[in-house]
Amino acid sequence: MTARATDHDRAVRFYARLVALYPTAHRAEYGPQMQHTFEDSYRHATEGERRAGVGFWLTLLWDEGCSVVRERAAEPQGESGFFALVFAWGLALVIVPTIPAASDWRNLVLPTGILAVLFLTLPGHSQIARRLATVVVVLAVVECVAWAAQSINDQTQIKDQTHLLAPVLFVAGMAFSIKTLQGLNARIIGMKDSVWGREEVTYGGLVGLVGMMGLGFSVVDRSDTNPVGPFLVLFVVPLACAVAGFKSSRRNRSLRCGVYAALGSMLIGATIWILAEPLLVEGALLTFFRDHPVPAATLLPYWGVGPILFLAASIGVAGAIFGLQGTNEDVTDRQTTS
Amino acid sequence: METDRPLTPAVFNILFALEGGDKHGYGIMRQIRSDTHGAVKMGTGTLYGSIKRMLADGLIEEAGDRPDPALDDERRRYYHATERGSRALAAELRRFSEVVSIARRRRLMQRFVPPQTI
Repeated sequence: MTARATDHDRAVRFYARLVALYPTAHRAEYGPQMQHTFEDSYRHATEGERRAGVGFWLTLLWDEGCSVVRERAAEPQGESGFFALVFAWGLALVIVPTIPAASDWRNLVLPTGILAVLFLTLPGHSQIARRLATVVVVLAVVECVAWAAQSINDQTQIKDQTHLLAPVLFVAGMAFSIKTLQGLNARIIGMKDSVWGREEVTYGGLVGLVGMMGLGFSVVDRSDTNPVGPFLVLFVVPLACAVAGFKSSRRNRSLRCGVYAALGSMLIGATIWILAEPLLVEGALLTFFRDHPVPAATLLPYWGVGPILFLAASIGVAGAIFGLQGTNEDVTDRQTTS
Repeated sequence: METDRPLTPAVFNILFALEGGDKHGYGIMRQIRSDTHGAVKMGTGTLYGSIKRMLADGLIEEAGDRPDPALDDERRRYYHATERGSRALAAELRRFSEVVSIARRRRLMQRFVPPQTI
């Protein structure tokens, strides 16, 4: 084989790898044509004794890079390869807070922000994410204006700017959580429609709110005589997960649906809870209770989150099993009666 | 796509190239390069992304007739402009023409365009 033929084969193989980066549907429809057109272009660029220059390859890489991003962004969300990333991030949101060394919420802000922007700016996303993104932008503008006005009036720098950022981070975290958990849900059950059911969202929201209240009470009063925080976090949260699993498994007559509902509620709630920490620690809640004799603001220790999630998930799954058993008994009763 | 909406440069160039007859992907690329004296070199990714969207918008369609498959690679597909695509191109050319006539009236052509190209 001549050097020229080798170069040609290598170029064709390289281009085939670039084409492989396109979405499956686009690749299936246009891949062979693109390959053929590239071969023609390459042949033209290497006519005579010429070799394809650096300019040829740079132009090709730039064009293909832009096109891949464009086609990926335009593809339906259900087929998106980004699901793998979403799945990994969803897991990280649950696992990372259980590692004390990496549990500072500030470590989550940058990647969360970047990914939130990524997901919220891709087309084909749900209306709720779009609306939340709008809220984030409005809040950010309001915060910037408020910060500027205060700086001008006081002629001083605000001591800790993270106080102002807390609500923005909270809303961004909420928006991102919804998108993340949609992807996580889709990944777990392998379905194209990645949107959570109404039941999971309702109970997940409830779990999140209860968890936030529990944390809030713990922030205000960290003494052992304060039973409200631990009660909410250790009892009401698992109970809500259990009810979600119970009801879903009964309605759908499927243990799998019940387990997904229980885990889904737990995940939604836990994510809201974790991402709400900036608000609880740095933001409005602390400001509201600033006259209260609270020590340096710290939440429940992070090492407690993992066992709580495990507890909530376990009880939720148990609720789903009971729900399914109830359904089966109903069916058996009906069959016996008939 | 409405035919009275301005076209993107890629769509305009592809429609312009196809007005000369049915062409496959590489034929379109060569025609564009020739029409623009090498100023526009459309990449393969841009070309097929645009073709996909133009097919969806009904501006072009796959040509039914193709050369003898024995003489041509079967991977090639030929495209031609639809009636809608031709109308969109005509509307775009009318816009260009109006701009040029305004520029002439305001003597901008003499100022900005070299004489040999007018």
